[in-house]
Amino acid sequence: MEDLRVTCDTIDALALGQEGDDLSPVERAAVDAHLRSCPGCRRRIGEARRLDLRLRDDAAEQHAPARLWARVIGRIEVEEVSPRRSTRRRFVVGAAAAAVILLLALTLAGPLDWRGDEATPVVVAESTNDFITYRLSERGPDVRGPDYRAVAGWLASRVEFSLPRDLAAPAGYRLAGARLCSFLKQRLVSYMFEKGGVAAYLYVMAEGDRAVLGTAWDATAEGFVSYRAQGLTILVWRESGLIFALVSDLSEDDLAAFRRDMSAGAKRPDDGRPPEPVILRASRPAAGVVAAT
Amino acid sequence: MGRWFDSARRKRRQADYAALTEPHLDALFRTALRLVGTVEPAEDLVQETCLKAYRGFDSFQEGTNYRAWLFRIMRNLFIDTHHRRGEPTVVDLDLVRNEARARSVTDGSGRHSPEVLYLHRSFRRDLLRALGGLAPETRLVTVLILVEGFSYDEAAAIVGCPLGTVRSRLSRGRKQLQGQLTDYLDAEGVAGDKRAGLCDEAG
Repeated sequence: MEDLRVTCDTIDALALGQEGDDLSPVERAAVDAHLRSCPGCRRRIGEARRLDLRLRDDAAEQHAPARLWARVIGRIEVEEVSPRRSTRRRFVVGAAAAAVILLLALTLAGPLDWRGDEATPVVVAESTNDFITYRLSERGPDVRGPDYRAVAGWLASRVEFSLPRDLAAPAGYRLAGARLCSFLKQRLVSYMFEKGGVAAYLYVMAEGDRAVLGTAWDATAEGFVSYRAQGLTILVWRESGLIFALVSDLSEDDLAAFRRDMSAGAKRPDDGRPPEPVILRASRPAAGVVAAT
Repeated sequence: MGRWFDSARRKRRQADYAALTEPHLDALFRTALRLVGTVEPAEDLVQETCLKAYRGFDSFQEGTNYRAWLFRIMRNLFIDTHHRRGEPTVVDLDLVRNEARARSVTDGSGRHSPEVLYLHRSFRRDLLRALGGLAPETRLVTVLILVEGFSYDEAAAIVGCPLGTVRSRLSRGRKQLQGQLTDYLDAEGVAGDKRAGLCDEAG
């Protein structure tokens, strides 16, 4: 290529791209000479090189959104716990996915810092696709004291479903905070209960999105699905047309007891009759639906 | 015991996967954004790519080009999606928000002027629009080589076509982009010529 003849037809390949990097000094001189003598090529090659530079400069400054890797890992976690891979565990696909994503919501949102002794902004979540971005945009009520009714009253106007009228914190626990989240384009409410530095998070959402939660519900005899993910125990159950998910680093037994106490306290009738059993069933039963009590 | 081993193996697999994949997340996102034109679908494309890579992680041969392997997965997903859904036509306004999180644009002095920032934002918006006008495979080759710096050989392997096809697609893509982005390419004037190596420092 030492006797290289550079023309307007051949210069692009030589002056642009990877071939250009391998030119000998003589070839490079020939290219430069043509560029000096040909205004058309000079303009065109100049623009092309500037385009290359701009594209690289522009790209160098752009980074993936911080939440993206968490999304990827979240999907992988969901896939790992999916029963499609293991028929031994008869957990509900949708419920497991829902709970894991709820867990993600918890993780993405960071620690709940709504203390009972201060008026802290509510974390309002706006969902994009199936995931969640958070912004601080509203002021919450003053939740001084473990007044569930005050919190529930404020939250009730901001969700599309009826929150339980009474939700009793189990003995020793106090209601430490609450917030609104968004999950799969639905609002959900999260409560944080606390006892001696141990926290349990209760998520409540409407049962509405059947496509998400699947048509089968194969709960245990106690009426809930439980498993562990990312070091946390998760209990999911249905009750009164709502989905509840309890997330904590407590053991499954402790969480089951927590749930029992909470349900019993909430459902204790005034007339002294024993509490009604919690009925878990699909609102629109389909083939394979298991109703558990 | 079996479960414990399963769990340990899964954790190790996840750790290996994360160590290899996460460093390429920025590049995957940049490429996805330039392929699909909007932020949310770009995130979806990256997510699907990573998920598919995780599923097939055991089939990846150590010592081969992991980055190219990832991009090949993305290419296949992109082409499949394109054939299924057709072209996106809207440039995402979220880009502006996204820009706010991007690193600062400097004007050479280390500071960033509003004009430079504005020009930069406009450039990306118009770039995405211009890329959207390219045929999908042309767009892909153009982005792989000009943005992510893949070699022609790597791009040919990712796209699955001969080297000559890569060259012709790149040439076509570059010409079309030049035609669409002329304003930005002229705007840098002599300074741009210097950077592009078309005149010496004195000139």
